[in-house]
Amino acid sequence: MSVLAFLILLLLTSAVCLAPLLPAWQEWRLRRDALPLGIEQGEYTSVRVFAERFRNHVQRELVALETNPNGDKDYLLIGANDTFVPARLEQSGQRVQRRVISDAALRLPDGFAFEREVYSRGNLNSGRRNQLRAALADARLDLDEGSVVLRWTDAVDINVAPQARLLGRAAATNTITLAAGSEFRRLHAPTIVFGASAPVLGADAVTRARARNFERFGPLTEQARWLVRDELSVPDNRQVNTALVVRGRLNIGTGAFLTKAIKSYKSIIIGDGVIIDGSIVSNRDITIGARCIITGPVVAQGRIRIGPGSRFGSIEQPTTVTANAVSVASGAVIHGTVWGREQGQVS
Amino acid sequence: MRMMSVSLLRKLLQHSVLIGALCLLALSAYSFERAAADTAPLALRLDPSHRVNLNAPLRPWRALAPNTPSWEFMAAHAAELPLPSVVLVVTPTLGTANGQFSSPGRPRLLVTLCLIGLGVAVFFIVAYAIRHYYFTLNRLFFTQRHPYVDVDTADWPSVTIIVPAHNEEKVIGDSLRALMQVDYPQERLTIMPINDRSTDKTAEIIDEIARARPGLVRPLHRNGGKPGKAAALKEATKLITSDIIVVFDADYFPSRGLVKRLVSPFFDPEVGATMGRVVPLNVGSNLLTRLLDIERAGGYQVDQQARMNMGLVPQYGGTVGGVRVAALHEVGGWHDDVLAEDTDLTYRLLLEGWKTVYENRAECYEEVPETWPTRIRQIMRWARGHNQSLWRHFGQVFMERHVGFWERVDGLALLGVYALSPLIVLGWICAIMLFYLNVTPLSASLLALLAVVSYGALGNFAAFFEVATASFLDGSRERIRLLPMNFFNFLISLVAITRASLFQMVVGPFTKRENGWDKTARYRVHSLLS
Repeated sequence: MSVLAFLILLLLTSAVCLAPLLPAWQEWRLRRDALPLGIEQGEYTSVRVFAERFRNHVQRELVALETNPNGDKDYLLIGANDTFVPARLEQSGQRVQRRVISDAALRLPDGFAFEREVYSRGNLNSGRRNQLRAALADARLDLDEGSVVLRWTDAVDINVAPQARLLGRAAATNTITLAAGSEFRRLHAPTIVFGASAPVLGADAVTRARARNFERFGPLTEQARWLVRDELSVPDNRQVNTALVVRGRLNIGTGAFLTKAIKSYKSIIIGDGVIIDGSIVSNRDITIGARCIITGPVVAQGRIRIGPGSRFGSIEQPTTVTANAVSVASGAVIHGTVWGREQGQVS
Repeated sequence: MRMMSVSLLRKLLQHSVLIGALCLLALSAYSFERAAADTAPLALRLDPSHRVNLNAPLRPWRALAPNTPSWEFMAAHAAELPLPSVVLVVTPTLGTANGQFSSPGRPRLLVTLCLIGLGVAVFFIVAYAIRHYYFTLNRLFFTQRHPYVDVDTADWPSVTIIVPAHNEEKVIGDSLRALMQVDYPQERLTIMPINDRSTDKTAEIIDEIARARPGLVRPLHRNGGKPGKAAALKEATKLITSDIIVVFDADYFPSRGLVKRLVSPFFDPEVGATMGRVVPLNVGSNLLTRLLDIERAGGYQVDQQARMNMGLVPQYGGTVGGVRVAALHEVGGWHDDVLAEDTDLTYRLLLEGWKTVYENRAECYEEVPETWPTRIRQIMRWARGHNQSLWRHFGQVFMERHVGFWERVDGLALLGVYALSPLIVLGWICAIMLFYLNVTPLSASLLALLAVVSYGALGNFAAFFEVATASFLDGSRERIRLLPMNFFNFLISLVAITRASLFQMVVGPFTKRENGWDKTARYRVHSLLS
């Protein structure tokens, strides 16, 4: 082999080896992406973060308007004695592309799509079949039949009519009431009422259950958990005094009282009138019967079905119900948060 | 003298498994060589349908040729075989390029040992490569499990945040002040910084912060007892009454929502420990920090999350993690005689039926080493600790029938990650030696080829694929260009881990090592809160 051939081979080999390093060398020297990765600082864990930011933004804009009344503004401001009147172009397309800010109670016309936020400093009543990007009311918000909120909703009280949908985050200072046939995703309020309000067991039901003399089921000795490697059925009206981890299906009989958290790798079926003073976790589905009381979080990786008259958490100790899909029967009450990540409906 | 003998004997007994394994290896190599010497090619009859007839008697070639046959002999006498026939070569010492099956000058034992070494290395490299690829594909295309991340409203359990510190004056203030701002019910929260015989201003900084929030911050000053993080945690755990412990290293800078994210999985009664994601803060300092940044991303964003998705064994990493106190007591508390109390705890929990949960969205900033010597010391420390856990828990994990099959497989693979580096080096050495021993017949070539391909295309690149995927998932598109440079980081880690492992295996049994603070240097100059 000649020296030239050897040198060419060496050169080509070096080029092949070094080629992948060229972009690396470039990035190393230019430092185009050398900042730490952004991490969530916790702000997005708050269900009300968008509403708070928007309210602050509006306040700043209104202050700016006072100092410069003739400045450009991309919102429609409605005074205390005014009504919402869409512009001619908006009227014809039934689309409003401006933010709507009302100084008092506001009623929206039927069939309009509001592509930016709507804010009322009083009550806010949507029309029928409205589509809202986001809605904020300093008092009560009524979402009428067939209307939908796409991103977020925040008010003191929220009422959702049948066939209306809350697709983003919805938070209320007091109560959210959803009619049968409505849909939701993430709700947060001290009290969330589903459908027609039904008499639910009082907050002292757990205390009364503790005082009652149930027949015991499961290990009698004190231990952190009861591990069951197969299916388990807790008979009716029995008491389990230990946390329960079941690898198979778990059935809990009517009227049972469980004093600690429970978990199943498969489905959990809970009978009527069961009281669980702890959390419920399932790798699949959870079906909860009528008139049950659950004090802790309920977490399922599949679907949660909630029977009528059941109650979750309390005003003093709110809780979370979360699953890919949540269907709630009319008459149930949840204190705290409910998330149906892909689907939430009131039946 | 007698004491020394007893001590030596005890050490030998402690490492009897290793000695046994070495004896077994030598024995198998010897048997292999004997078998090779006695074995000649066999003729195997085929029936007329050209299928192998296993019932037909095997006829050793030796009957045709009393001496060890060569390729030339076989070619010349092939016609003598009753047709149809095939030749089944059954010999591990497979001849040389000149066609001889046995060469009197060849060190057969060495060849056999090299073949075994190479085979073992290739097997494990391929196994780990498949594991890496499977994790990465799972992370890219399968359902991601974050079952507890939505729990934002609850009757939260009581939590003690422990921050062990030894000479951490540069960072401890930031860490404690950030912890005081976390979003968690204050009446359920206690922050317990542990000053373990610091000689700098750590104690003063802790006391100053504690004076400002006496109900919230309750420091523990240690001036005696065993030194080290595990011992500090052990002592602190005796003092607490909370349900959950959350541990942060002193250089960590938690976000507001982090503690809730780490605690929410404990509503699952099966969860014994949780682990969050660590994100390097000093990324832009130099090339090393940038390489460590993308490497860390691969480890957490892909590896840990994939294991979480598949219900395997995410690792509790000793910081940015929580532990259920009841579970900790059940498994015997912190062990202060181990080098990696985090890995040790992960496996003790696993064996007792507790789960460790990885929470990818519980993110926390940390400082990574800025100099190569610091990095090498860090990874050598990790390797020693991990190997010690391998030694302690391998048998139990292997035998524990109550742990699921795939959990056991993953648990064993996780235990062996730091043992892979010496194996790769062993594979290299064996492959090079076989090359120079002129072992190049068909099957050995295939073996060597497999070694090269699996190592080059799978072994390394599988981990690199993981890192690249992590950058993709993080949405950081420019830093991924640094990936080829990570090869150098990989090489340095390989040598460092191999060195630590060999030293630990060969010299470790005969030396006494005191657990203590093996500190990583801190680089922060200005407070992050200023």
